[in-house]
Amino acid sequence: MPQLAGELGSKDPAVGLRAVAVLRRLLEQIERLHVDNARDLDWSWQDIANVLGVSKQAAQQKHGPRRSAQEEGK
Amino acid sequence: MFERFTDRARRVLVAAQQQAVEARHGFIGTEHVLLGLAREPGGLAHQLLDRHGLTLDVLRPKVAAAVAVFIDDLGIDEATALASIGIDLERVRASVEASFGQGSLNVTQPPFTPKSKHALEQSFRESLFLRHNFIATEHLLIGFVGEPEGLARQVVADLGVDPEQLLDEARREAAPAFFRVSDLYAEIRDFEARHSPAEDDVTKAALIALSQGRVNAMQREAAALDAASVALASELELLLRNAQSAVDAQSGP
Repeated sequence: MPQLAGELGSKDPAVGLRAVAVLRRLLEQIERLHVDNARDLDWSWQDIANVLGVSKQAAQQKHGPRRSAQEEGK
Repeated sequence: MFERFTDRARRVLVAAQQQAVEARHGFIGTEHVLLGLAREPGGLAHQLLDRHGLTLDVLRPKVAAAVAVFIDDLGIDEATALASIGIDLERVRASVEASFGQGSLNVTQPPFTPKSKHALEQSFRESLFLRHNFIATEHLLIGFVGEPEGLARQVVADLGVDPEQLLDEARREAAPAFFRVSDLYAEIRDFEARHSPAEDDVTKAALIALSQGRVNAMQREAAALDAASVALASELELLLRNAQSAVDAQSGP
């Protein structure tokens, strides 16, 4: 609950580090969903990379293999 | 790679995940897969573990103790952790699922540790090595208990079972014909060593036939699955017997 955020935003490293770890997983999952969606809508790797603020190579290296596996599976 | 998994092997991975979730460990380590193997009855891995007294009841407290050495058992769930930095997981989930469908966000699903991923790859390689075209619980056992410095291996060793011996048993029972073939190769090499250099024509001919047969067999073996190894084993056995009896007849009275 957001209202708990203040109380829970403690200096306890156990809580903070766990939050970082979960946030990272959350971020990765949401990135994957949106990249897949963009590719399904025929966005180029360059366009995706521009919006993500990374190089085309970085975007393609990270998501390309998964996408080709998915497309083969279809 | 997952389409090659047997149903039982899939259930082992699901069970491993449940073990990790129940223990609130937040990751799936080699030790959770070991628990999954012990929990899923009927497979070869389960039989092997059982034979060495490695049952779920024996393993679970050992795993809990071993994991506790590495992480303080935090007991903080994902939603609470995210709330501490002002993120409401339920709201994130609701809006993501509104666009991408139910279950599209799976943040509570613990990820595999790097060692577990490596062990999974090893299970796959083990299946290839044994000329199998499927991945079953025994391949998982070999991959996960075989993982160097993995907790699965450590827990097994702590319980007084030699991990290497366990792996060896698993390999031999997973692919008996395959090991029969390698044992026969060893016997043939031994035969060749005992009889060469051959002085008489019969022994020479027997040695040539034997090594030619072995080369042919090895060429075919590269493509053979375990089922084909059964045929290969009887072929090699016949070769060896023929060579032996030719030489015996020669040296007899």
